[in-house]
Amino acid sequence: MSDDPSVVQFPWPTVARQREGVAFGMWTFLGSEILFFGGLLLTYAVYRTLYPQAFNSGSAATDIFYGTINTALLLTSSFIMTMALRGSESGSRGVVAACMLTTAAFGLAFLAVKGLEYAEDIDKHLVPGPHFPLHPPARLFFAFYWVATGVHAIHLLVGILVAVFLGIRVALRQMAPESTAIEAASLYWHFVDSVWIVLYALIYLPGRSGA
Amino acid sequence: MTWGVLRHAGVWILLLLLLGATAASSSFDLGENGAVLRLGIAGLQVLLIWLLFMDLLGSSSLVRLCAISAFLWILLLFGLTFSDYFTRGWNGTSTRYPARTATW
Repeated sequence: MSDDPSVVQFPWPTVARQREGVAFGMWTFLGSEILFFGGLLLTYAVYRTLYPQAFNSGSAATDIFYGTINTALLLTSSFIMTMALRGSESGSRGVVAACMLTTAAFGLAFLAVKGLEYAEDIDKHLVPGPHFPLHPPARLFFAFYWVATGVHAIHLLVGILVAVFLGIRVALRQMAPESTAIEAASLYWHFVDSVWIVLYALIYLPGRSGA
Repeated sequence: MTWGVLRHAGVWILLLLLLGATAASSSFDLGENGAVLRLGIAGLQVLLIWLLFMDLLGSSSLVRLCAISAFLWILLLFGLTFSDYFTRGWNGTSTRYPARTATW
């Protein structure tokens, strides 16, 4: 890795040291994100222990088709993001720009599918409130559903904006393809993907066998 | 196509296969084992992403320590909370579970 002055930022003496700093800084931030989502998952675990059948009936009312499509979209976007990082390591401007923008496009597709799902959920009154069709404790499940998927969607939107911003800057030659910002964006994107994998298992899969 | 690209493509296909397996498993009544299986598959998928896509395998000890420490705190969060909830019935006093409003 060259110590290109357009890549090395103050106060790092070399790209290698800067890369190490970026990874450490991002993982520290992601540690705080793990704790943030950990609190949400803890509430799910406690209430599911208290009301297992309500959570099963709530989960069975969600649309697993949308959930599975969205998981496949995010897994694919993560793969494309790894290609962006490999392009960054080899200094390939075209690969980095194309992969960052394609990753963002997959993220947008996820949000579009999520929007269709939200519209269907609202249509079925699956929102805790006066016309909620399921047994009252299932409101706890749907409170978790709306908060967790909503917060995840906001995280994904941030990731999309970052990917578009970096992709365009690299394409316009305003940023070197070897920039360590690509690695930081990649770590964030994969993390948001991994949060969704856990949410998918908790939201869409239980209570579907009819048992 | 380099070996690294092929390796990442292999991981991606494995992740999609695991997604198919966990989605299909939701149609079968596996009892309590079903939740363990599905969370186990989700855990495996997350591990693959973290170790290979996020390259924790190739990261420095400092970075790995940072990732592991987050899980230490999660362990404490869940451990302390459930040590309370799971033992509330032991003394038979007012610290039991709140009355369930559901009649299932």
